[in-house]
Amino acid sequence: MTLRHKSAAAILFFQMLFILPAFALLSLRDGAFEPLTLIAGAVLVLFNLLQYNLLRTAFRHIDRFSLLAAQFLWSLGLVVLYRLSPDYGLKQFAFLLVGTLAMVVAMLLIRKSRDFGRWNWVFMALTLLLLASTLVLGRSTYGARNWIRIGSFSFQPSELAKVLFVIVSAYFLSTRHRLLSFIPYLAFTAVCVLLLVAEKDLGAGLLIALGFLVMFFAATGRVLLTGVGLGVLGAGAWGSYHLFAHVRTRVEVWQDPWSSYQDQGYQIVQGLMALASGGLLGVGLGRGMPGAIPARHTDYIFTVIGEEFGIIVGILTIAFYLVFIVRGILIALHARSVYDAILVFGCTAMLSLQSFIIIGGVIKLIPLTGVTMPFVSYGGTSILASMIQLGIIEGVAEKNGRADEEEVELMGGESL
Amino acid sequence: MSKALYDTMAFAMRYWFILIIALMLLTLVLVSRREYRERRAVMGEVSRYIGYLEITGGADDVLGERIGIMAENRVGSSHNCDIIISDPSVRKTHALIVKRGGEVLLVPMHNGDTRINNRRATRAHAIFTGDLVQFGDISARVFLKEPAGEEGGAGDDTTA
Repeated sequence: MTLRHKSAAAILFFQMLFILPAFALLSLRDGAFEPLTLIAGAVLVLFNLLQYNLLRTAFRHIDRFSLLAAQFLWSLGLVVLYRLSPDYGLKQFAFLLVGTLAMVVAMLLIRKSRDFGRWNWVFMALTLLLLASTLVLGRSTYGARNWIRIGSFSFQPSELAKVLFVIVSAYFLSTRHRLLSFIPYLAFTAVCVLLLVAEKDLGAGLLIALGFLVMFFAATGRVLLTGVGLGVLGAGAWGSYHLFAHVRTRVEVWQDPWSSYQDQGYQIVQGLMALASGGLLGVGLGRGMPGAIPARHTDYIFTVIGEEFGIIVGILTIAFYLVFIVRGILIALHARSVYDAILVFGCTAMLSLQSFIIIGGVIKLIPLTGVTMPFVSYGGTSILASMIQLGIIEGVAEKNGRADEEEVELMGGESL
Repeated sequence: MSKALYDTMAFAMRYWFILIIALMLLTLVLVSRREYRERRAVMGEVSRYIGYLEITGGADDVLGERIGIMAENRVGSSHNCDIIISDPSVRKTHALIVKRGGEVLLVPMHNGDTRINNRRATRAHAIFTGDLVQFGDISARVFLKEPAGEEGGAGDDTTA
């Protein structure tokens, strides 16, 4: 009986074979060889390698495959961002460094997840404070009032509120069993979603509402109640369609972006044309025309990937998200306490819903609501939130691994 | 470097990127699947055991060895046994260790010399963690994972 880790060196090697040629190609883009670009690529390879190995040494049982999937996603994101503007790439890399730190902190904190329940009211208050803060201090970007600017530093509170929402949910769903005792939690969710809709941050509102339903169903298994929740969500969507002009515009644009091609439909049309011009194989890195797409470095980054790398790579990217989801669910199923299980499941659900909402919006499968593509999109708060969620997942994986190791060693086996 | 040359290179590199990303995904899926299966097999094996016997007395080469106890075990020197102790003082089928309800019972067979805490066992006796059992000249310390008779509440919490 021996628990063994399979070698993942091949995956890291392929990662290098992707990043270095991509940056080498970009370094030749402006007609002359640009050594700095190649160095940036080498730094990224080194960062991924170091991060992987240091984390593995410090935490023996982390889930290496989720980490590798996430590493590929942000490497692809960095290639595209560097191609759009080296400035975006460098800033994003700095965010990643901070994010890694946040991830490690989350992994360490999750060891004490038993004590989180005591802080639940603090978490709830903090979530509401973050969400309400944008109503007062907020600044509008692309129609949504979801940014706060302090000096030259700006951040998006709803991203962090998402993570806090998962933590609060995990506490309620793991400790409450009777229907009536869920009322504070239901009220909390409703207030969160309403605040987000009032700020016109529809993407985050939809994300929290859907995340709530998925987590509630996974934790309690109540079909009827989840159905009612789905009905309330549908009624809410219908209501906001009739109440708010900006929701109506979104749906109309989704139905027929071409009729308002010059104004509201512009972004969707540009995205669709970029995807179409890319076709199956893409037009080649650096040869597309992403300049025409609004929000190309954040929400619409998938169209740049689709245009320059082709839709095959786009589908492979979605497959990396799927690997991430499957690993996350396996970790959740394996968790030794209900709280940890719901926490990991919630983080996985949030990240996967987020990628579904934005990719679905970009390809016109569902109405477009602005959220970032986890790990890929440019954005400090977005990367930070995604990394904290990854940290929570890895932290529980580490706990699982340690419990497994103890069980195996008890029976005279070993864990390598 | 001319723009045309860059365009050709970028155009050609598309295939490389698709190939590498596809290979990366494939390796990721295959390696993680293989590790998951192995892990599940090992953990499945581990969870089949309800405890173990640690050999504390007898031939030197088996001292300290841990033998897993399952829900039903035959102890003896025969190869058909679940817990095989090859020693001349141990009968072919020497004893049974079975889990009945919350208890783990040691059932001596065929007048073999079976002792629990140095007292000869003549009928089925419950054994607990820390007990010293002897089969012929071989003695072993008992360890049970979930102590029989204790509430499974803590265990229930942890398996959810």
